Amino acid sequence: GANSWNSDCFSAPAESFLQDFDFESNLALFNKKAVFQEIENDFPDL
Amino acid sequence: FMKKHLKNPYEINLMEELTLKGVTQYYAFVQEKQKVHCLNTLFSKLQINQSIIFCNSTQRVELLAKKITELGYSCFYIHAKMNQQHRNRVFHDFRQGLCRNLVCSDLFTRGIDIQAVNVVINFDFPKHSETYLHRIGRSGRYGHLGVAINLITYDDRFSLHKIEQELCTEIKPIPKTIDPCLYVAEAQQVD
Repeated sequence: GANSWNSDCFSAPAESFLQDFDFESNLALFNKKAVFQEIENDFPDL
Repeated sequence: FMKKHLKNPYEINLMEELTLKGVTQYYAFVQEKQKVHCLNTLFSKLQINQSIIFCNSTQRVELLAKKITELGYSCFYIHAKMNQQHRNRVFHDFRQGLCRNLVCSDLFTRGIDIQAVNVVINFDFPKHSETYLHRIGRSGRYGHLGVAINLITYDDRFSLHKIEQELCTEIKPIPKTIDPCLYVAEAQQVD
């Protein structure tokens, strides 16, 4: 529910952010084109 | 009423259309637990004049505002459960530039046009295109430049797809460096 969602999001200590967030390697985990293709194939009426 | 009292009225719609023109839209792919880390890095990398950060619930507005303060950045927050007078005062102070960052839920039905705001961050991606447009859109009258950065989780994929389709727009992956000309006023004047 909302509580586990919130604790997931807000529980990390500030010290864990000393290094920059790695945008590039996270973007690589999401193939937008392929995911959109999948959505369109499953719901062709969209 | 109008027919009775007005003779040959001119009808003018004073509500400006909201537009995404001039706003460069990016997304960062994150997990829920990476959002604060991601935001912290954005704060350190971007040349923020003023920023507005949107969450999807009042509780998350409060939790995030607390977190941002812990990280050493100043911020105000407003959400729907605060009384109107208090909200007005915070918004007025933000508009005056007393604070650099504002965290809020969806309170504004007409979009926000504060000249000094050059960065809008969707900490939580909205579910509806109307909400997205109200958060990111600018009224045509100003049309000044800015960047919008959306933190996208895997669960947001359907909303992302729907909103891009419905608004006929494209939200691109965030590049390694964001050209200051896209959102920093001084950089535009240099050109």
